[in-house]
Amino acid sequence: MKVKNMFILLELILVCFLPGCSKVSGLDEQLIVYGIGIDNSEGIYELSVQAIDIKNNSESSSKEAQKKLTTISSKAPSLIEAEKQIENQSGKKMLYSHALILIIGEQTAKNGITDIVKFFSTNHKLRPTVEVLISNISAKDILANEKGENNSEDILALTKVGKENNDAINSNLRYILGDINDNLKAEKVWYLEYNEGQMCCEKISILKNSKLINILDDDDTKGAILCFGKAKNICDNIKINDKEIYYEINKAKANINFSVEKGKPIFYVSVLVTMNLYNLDNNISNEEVKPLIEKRLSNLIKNTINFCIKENNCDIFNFNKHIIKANADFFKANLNRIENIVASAEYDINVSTKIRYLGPNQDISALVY
Amino acid sequence: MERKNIVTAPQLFSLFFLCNIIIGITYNLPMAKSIGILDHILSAIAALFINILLIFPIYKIYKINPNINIVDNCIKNFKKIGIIFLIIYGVYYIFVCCYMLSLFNIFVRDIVDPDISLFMLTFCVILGSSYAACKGIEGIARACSIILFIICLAIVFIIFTIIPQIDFMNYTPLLFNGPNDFINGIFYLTSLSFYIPLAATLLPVVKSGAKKVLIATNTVTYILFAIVIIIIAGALGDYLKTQTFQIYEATSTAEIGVFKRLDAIYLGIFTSGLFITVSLFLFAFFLVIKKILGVKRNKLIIFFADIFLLVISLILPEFEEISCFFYDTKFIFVFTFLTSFVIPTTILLKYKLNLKWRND
Repeated sequence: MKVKNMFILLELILVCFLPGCSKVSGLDEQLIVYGIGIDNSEGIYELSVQAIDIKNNSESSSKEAQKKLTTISSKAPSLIEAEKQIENQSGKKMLYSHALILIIGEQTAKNGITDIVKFFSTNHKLRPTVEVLISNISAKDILANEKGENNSEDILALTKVGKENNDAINSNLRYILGDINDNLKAEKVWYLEYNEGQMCCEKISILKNSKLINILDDDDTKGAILCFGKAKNICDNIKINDKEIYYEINKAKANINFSVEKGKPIFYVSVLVTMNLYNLDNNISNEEVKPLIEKRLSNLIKNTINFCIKENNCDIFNFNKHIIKANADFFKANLNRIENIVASAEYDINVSTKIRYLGPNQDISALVY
Repeated sequence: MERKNIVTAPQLFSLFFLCNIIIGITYNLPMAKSIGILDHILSAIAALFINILLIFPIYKIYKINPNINIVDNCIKNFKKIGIIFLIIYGVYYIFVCCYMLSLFNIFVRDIVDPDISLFMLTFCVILGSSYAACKGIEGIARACSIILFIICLAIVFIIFTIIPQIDFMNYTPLLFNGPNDFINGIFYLTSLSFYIPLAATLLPVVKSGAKKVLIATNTVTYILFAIVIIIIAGALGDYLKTQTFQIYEATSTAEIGVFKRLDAIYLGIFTSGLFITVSLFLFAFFLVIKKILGVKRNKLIIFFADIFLLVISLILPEFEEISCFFYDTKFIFVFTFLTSFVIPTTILLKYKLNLKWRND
């Protein structure tokens, strides 16, 4: 019985304590990273990390909502060396599990992001849900803002506000990693703009073979989000009879079909948009405004498709997957020239709207839809 | 020779089902030699029916005499030659323990944290499992019920948080890349049916309802597997092709509200499941060894088996020359097929021949 009890005790000690004690790092010995910034100039990586300043946080009042952050940077020929340098500078071990964003400078992205994405995707602690962004200035300048405004949580919030499912274009690490490995796909990443203290994230950058190709302008970004069928809170306006009409999209649902007609590949893109309409009066009839809005939205989508696919050869919409779904045999038979087929295809865009009229005009607002 | 019926049918089902879930967590495409995961839905359905065929001889032997297991049947029908079969079963059970522990070590080292002490992790699991196996099936079954409940909660949470992430564009037509993935998937899934040779030893411990246990384990396992594949393939898409352990990867993306970064908790839950699974196979191994060497040398064998298990499961992740053989699906398939179908069928035929000779 004694031997048995001793055995149980030993087992409990081993299970409860010993594995935890081996190579453990305390919280104050770790650099808890919130944001990561990468720049590369002439083959030298500059890694910047925005981390919690544990010392200042513990000293500050608990009522202070804002976390105190500190940004540390280092330059090295490889990311792993830069990481080690930061660990040596801070005397702490990097902990990526709380990282929210990965910012890559525009110039760096033009040379390709494969190495960066793969390096971080193989890090054991970094979550695949980390949001990836490309910035118009260097990533270090975005993170190391002395005003303390650009903390990683705020930057992440910029990519979420107004986007359905909080991620309209899926620009996190796992999607990018999936896209990089598929030659037919093009990656899409939020573009972060910083101008005179103002920061916004309303444009999409498009990449091909992991290299930054171009940036969609405001209208093209709207068209892209509509085509993804995830649009929410997109605001736009049209002019009718010298009068500005404003509308806000609540929801968009896209449906894409593919067929080959008389040897010509055609993609049928139909989008159903639900929207609120403002500033309408009796002088403009329903029949007049609806087709105009639908035409405007169709043009937005058409221009975006032209820009991405025809001009830049970046299939960010995964039209090639629609070919597989519609006609797998056709896809297999034309595997080597799928990119050409997508680029030369005809795009038939059809937008239908469900309009909710808002405003004081009772004659119209009573007619919901 | 006669054994007490000490475990209920739901408990035995829990044991087999938990065992299959733990095997499923380390499911991976490189071992299955497949590119796409979607064809494995068809493979799971095919494996379900193949397993029914594989289970049949073991169930038939059990029906002839529900109180004796395959270990006793080998000696009863083949006398001394039966020891060869027992050795095969003993090696198989210890092989499964090594396979699971070493794969789990690779999984922890490559995916979870390279700094975790594999020695301590393996040592503790083996020590606990060995103790549980010595205490008997009843204790393992009770612990299993609690752990399975927690694991089921975790699975439900993961599934329901992943479902909203499904993108239908991630589904490609089945057999799009030809039948290779489908065929390799069948081999892989069938080779991992470790519960069938285990059932050969454990079925007599159940009070009643062995048939229901086998059917339920087989059906629920593969249906759950197919559902999980459908969900993770739809949610994670091409990202799965870049990852080694596809099913586990779902845990790192499963999050809702404040419930984020829970993969460390899942790992703890799954490790407890591993402890049950290893103890179950060790228990089966001890039954075989007891029959071969007698009760007297039992403790010594347990000690050496534990040392062997510890060494092999730590060595395997380090040496590719040995591990490539250990993780070869064809080898595992042949071994599983031998212990779940060939040996039981041989015993069954011998029994029928003996019966015929006696009647003549």
